[in-house]
Amino acid sequence: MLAYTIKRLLGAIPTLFILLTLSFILVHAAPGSPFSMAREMPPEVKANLEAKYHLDEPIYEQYGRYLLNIAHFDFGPSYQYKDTTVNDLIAEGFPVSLTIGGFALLLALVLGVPLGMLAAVRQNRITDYLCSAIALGGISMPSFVIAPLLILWAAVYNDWLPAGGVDSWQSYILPVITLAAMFTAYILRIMRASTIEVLRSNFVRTARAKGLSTARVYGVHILPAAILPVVSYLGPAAAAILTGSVVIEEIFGMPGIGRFFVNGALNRDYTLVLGITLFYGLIVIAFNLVVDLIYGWLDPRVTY
Amino acid sequence: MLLDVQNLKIDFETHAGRVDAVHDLSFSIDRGEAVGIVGESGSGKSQSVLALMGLLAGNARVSGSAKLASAQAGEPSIELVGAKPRVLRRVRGARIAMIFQDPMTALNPHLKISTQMIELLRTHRGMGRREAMKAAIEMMEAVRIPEAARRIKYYPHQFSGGMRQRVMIAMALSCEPELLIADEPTTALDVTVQDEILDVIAELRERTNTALLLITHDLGVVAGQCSRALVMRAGDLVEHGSIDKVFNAPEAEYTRDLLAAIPRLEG
Amino acid sequence: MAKSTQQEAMEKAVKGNSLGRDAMRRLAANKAAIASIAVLGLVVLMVIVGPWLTPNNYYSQDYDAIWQAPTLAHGHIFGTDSVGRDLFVRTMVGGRISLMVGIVTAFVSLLIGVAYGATAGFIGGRIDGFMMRTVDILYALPFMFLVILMVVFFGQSLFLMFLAIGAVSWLDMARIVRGQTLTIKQQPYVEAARMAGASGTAIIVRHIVPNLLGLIVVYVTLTIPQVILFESFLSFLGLGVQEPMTSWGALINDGVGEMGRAPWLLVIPSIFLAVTLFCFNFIGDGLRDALDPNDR
Ligand SMILES: Nc1ncnc2c1ncn2[C@@H]1O[C@H](COP(=O)(O)OP(=O)(O)OP(=O)(O)O)[C@@H](O)[C@H]1O
Ligand SMILES: [Mg+2]
Repeated sequence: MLAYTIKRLLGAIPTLFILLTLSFILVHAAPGSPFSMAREMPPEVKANLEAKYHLDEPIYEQYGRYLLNIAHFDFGPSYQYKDTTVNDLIAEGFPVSLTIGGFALLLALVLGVPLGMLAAVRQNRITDYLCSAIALGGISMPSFVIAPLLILWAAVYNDWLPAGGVDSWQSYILPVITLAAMFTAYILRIMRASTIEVLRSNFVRTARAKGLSTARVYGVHILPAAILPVVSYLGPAAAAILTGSVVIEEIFGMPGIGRFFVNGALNRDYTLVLGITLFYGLIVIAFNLVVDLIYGWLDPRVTY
Repeated sequence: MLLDVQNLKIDFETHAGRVDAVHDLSFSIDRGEAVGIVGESGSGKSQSVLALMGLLAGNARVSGSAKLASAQAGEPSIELVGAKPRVLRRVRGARIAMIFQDPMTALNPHLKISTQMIELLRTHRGMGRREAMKAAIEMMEAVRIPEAARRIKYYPHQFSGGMRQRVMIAMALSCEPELLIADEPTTALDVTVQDEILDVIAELRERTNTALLLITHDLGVVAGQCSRALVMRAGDLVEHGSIDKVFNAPEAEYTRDLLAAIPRLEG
Repeated sequence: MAKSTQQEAMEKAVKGNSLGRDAMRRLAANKAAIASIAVLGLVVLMVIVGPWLTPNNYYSQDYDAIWQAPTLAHGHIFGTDSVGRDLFVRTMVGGRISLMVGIVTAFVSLLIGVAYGATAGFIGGRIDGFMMRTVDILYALPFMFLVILMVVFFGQSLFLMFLAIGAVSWLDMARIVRGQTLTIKQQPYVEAARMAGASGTAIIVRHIVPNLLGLIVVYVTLTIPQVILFESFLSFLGLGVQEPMTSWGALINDGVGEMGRAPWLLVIPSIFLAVTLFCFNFIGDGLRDALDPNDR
């Protein structure tokens, strides 16, 4: 298990390296420097700034410096936010993003797993069609459609919940619901499909032939087998959640890393954008590893 | 009489229309008796016995009757066809147990053998965890699994096919059912293991006076294990009688064909 | 190990293999899918002919009618925006962009995916190993972020958008086509063709691609909505098409800014986008079920 973990972590290095290089090339191949926006800047000031951020060095030196710093988990200073490092910004934004994403995933699991099982058990009946249609709705309604409609309804027309910000825990309710919608839909569909498959398997027939209670057949025999594809999905889901948080944070005006990313991209804040991309890559890789370990723990047939 | 099946009919509703799987099946079994069902693939053997357990697929429709004698003398018998889930749950595993053709997939790969054996004893016998564990290990030993106390903690994939089928037998017989239904219990196994499995079943049956309904393709096996045989073909019961009669004076053309197809070693 | 639902759907479709008459009949029996095809057809028709049916165009501003609520009276049946542009024409023109991006990009990714997957599977060996390892690495990259970077740094152009989204969405296809190719390669008739001296390309085009037809149809119907979603996502962030040109995502973005004052600016484009995505997904599901009837 430890050997497997180490192997996986080493395996992630090429991916990270390619990610880093690709985004570095992309950012530096782009026309315009981070300071070309502010046009009135005198040339000396600009040169000073570029020297401060080492932008006057040859590109390979910048690259080498960047790699070296990354190895120390130092993403450098932000270009846009004066006197703030990218690490600071990530440290500030990540808890917000994590809160929204974590609760959204939790909500999606709590709703999607039982509903998916229910749809499978009632296959081809009204309940199933209803669940499946709701799921398709969740997949077809992008978060940037759901979010404004929710704001319109719960914050503008009725004064139930705040429309944005992070001032109280209530501010998190709408973002979490919005983000959870799509994942609930996906989990429901995966769970439905896998439960249908498990229901057809021989061991479920055996469990029934043993005269066990319905609760035991579903809870002990079907659930652990049927949930495995959902567990696998959590890896890509984590990636999608981070992406989703970009829109959510934009709409609800929450200072998470998704929002920093978009702002950084629009303002050519090289270091911030690179740092967040890399941080994101790290999170996704780490999460995938955790998911695989959980999978192995749940499925006794998997050996490392 | 332990089980009395009258005019059992099964059909399935499918995309392509209705499939008549079993047309009109009547037979009975006495306590302790062993009856064989033979017939070609798709003749409806498995569906017939699954119907007795209420385990048919959701698209199945069953009619007719299957009466299971009451456990205590004097009480009315139980109708299995169309029985309520609650009634069926008390019969399954406790009074009628079943083992299936494919031991590789019949056990839950996600649960330890011990879990799968204990849950049965706890459900039907009301045993505590410890007591059930002890009984389960004894059963494992009875089906001749070496080092049962250790191996009971294994997962199914750590067992060979023959061992898994033994586990299935141990499990099926652990609550001392009155009827054991074995649906091709040895088809998926090595020839060398087949006899051992059949021996184990026979030995345990004798102890508990359990009746046996044995489904197989192999007439030789029927001759060795059973006192009566049913021959099915395409959903019809074409022959029904004692082993002696079926083998020596078959009525149906089809039975004669089946008999002619047995490779005769002993001349 | 991780599988997206789409990937699973495609694998199902593979099992069902060809898009036979049987599958067509089953699809025809699926009322939801048929209704979706009808609704989608209507949306497509509206989007194509809609702009020709009104005197308004998508960029001209009518200062006498700003923030006009939907009404029949002034000829603005969907109302107007903050500078008096007609929402009906803008929604239709935006729909053209959204649908076009969806369809063109889905085909781009289809071509790349099939070519890549079939090549890897057909050649096999070390080259296959290398090609698939590359796909694995690409999978792990946060593509959405890279696409945003690309769009930001190289300017917003429609072409770049095709390229960027197309580059992201071919990976699933490549994996599945490769798996299928490996299986089909072993078939006797392919062996026979090879013996007879058919070239690799000829075998891929003549024997392997036709076998993947069912899979391809399902793939395209499920990829189009994803791409439309992706485009509207970019446009929503202000990184997609530029004013005065528009797309559904860009319209929704405009609508969000003024939703308290003019909710129709948000609601109408949202309905068009959601209905379109819903229809595509329903059709894709229906096709998959038609190809693999066991599952429904
Ligand atoms: N869920 C179902 N839907 C439709 N038809 C079914 C279903 N289950 C079984 N059948 C049909 O019922 C018939 C009888 O099947 P059954 O499983 O009883 O055969 P069998 O005699 O046990 O054959 P084998 O020796 O191969 O196990 C078959 O023709 C089969 O196709
Ligand atoms: Mg059978």
